[in-house]
Amino acid sequence: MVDSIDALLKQRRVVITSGTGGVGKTTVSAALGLHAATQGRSVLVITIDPAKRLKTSLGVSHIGNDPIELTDKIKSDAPVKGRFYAVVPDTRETFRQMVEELSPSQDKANAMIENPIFQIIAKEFSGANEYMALQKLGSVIDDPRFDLIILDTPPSRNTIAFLNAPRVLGRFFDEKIFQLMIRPTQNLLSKGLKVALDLLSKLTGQHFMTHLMSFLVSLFELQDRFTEKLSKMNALLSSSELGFILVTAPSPSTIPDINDFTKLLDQRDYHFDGIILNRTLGFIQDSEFEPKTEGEKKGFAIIKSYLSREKKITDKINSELKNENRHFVKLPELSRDVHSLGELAYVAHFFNP
Amino acid sequence: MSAIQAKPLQELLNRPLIFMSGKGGVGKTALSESLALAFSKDQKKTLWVTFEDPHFPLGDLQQRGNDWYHLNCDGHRSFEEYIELKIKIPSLAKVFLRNRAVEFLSRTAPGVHELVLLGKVWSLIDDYDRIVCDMPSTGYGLAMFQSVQNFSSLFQSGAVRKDADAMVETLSDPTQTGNVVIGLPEEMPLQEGIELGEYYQKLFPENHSAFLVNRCYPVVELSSVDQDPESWEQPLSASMQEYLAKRSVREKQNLRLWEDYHLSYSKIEEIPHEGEVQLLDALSEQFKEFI
Repeated sequence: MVDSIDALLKQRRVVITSGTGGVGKTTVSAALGLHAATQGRSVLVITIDPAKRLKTSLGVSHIGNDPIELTDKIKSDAPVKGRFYAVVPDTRETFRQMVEELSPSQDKANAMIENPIFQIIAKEFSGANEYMALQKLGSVIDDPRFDLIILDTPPSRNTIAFLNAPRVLGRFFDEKIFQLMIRPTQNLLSKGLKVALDLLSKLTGQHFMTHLMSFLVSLFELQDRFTEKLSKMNALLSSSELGFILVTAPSPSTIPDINDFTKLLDQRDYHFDGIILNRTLGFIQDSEFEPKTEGEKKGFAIIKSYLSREKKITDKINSELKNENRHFVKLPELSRDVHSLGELAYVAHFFNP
Repeated sequence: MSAIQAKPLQELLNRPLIFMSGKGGVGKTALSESLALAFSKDQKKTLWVTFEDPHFPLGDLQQRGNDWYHLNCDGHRSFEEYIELKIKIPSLAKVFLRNRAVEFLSRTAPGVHELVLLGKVWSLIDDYDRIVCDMPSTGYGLAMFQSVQNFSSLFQSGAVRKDADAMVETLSDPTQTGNVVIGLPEEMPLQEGIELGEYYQKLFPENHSAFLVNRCYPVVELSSVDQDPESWEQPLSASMQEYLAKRSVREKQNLRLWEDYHLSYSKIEEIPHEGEVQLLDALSEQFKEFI
């Protein structure tokens, strides 16, 4: 196990931070980026959904697709050797860009974008945000301004949702049936399919079927380029330029989450670089103080029960990572929210062993 | 400031169908589970619903005790059940479901998955006294309600349209459905709670949500801790006492986010616990006071 994260930040060109909602992933990702910038790297942090006040303090209060440089705003005792950029991509805009990129013509792109079914997908298809994050990564990966990109994945219900998103979208294309459905004229529509489509039309109404068919036709035209893009993304995800860090906070699901995550990364030959355990209470000094008030007694009992859980989790991670070249960093639960680059720098200083 | 109309939690808990939503990490799973447990202890036949939660086996109804059931709802199976219900001739339903085009569409068509998950819950409403649902985190949770509305507008005719309309009616009915928005006394979960509350108000203007803050710490005061967090020298607390006192200040300050919206809310206290069973019991005791 390695306890300095600096080696990793030097070695990788892309670091993807994964984790469930509420663990402070955005703050950790930003602090990681800031830390690497002070070490001399040119860093871009891509973050999907930061707190409003964090966004404001990062200077990215407006959502836009262009990275903003924040190097000058870092107040640091020592000069910042590298550069620090951040971007908060706009989901809808990035999706539009992707369709335009994949479509054979602007007209066809527009037809796709205007289809009501596409609009629903772009807005709320589970996986759209995750896919969008990858799309954004793809669009900046060759930008010579950045030698390290930190991708803060969108908040999700489980740690592996992000990794599954490209496959979920890929499912649109990997079926022969897809071609069968939209080109019924050129082949022998099986009787079963005719019955099925008839029934479907009765269940959903002709209106929907019309949109669906035109959506599928549009989609079909994106197929080749999309498949090509998908395989590029998959190649990037498993390349040695890219590593994953799991950001988590002590909770009953911490250990199962770690297990699920490591299992999936191993299956896919992705590079698992380590764990950042955020919001830990172990930094609080054990004081001799005797709790007196009711509130103090209850509060002390709460913290003690959390400290004991935290210790179990820490021991478990330590034993799992013992013989591996992976990182484990603990960050403290802070008494106030992180709202400025100064506070981010404070978080970042915990990355120094 | 646009006012969100809030209902007291007590009132919502009289309704047969209760959805608990909020940002990831606020404790939706533990709270919905313990609320369901509290109902069952109150001799109400109760179903706790999770939606494809990876921590539970999929699809089968589990009886956990007297009046106490759990279903980890499976989209794929719900789709099949729905089709079998609609196409009343079993052999025809089989042909339909086995058709590869249908299978393909059921997996890929947007919103179908969300619609059938919610539809499954909706179809069970007469079988239980209470159904308590652990909604996915904000974005996905919204997508579930939205998909029903979408289907209602996307389909201009057909059987699905009819069912989607009936679902919207149940979800909008303040005698049938209650939405509980959960936050923590922290900035982002409270902020997201407001956004969710506004969104629900738009979706269901006649059916106001209840608001609940989870994990509230006991109040600890310390004269050396200033009431303004910005004046604290550093964000890290040195001792337990300092941590608790600072936490009290910050909780009070954060909760103003909701108070400024004139949101009335209920609180669930943080409890020291060893393990999940103990936590569930303690939480269900707290819910007893609202039932």
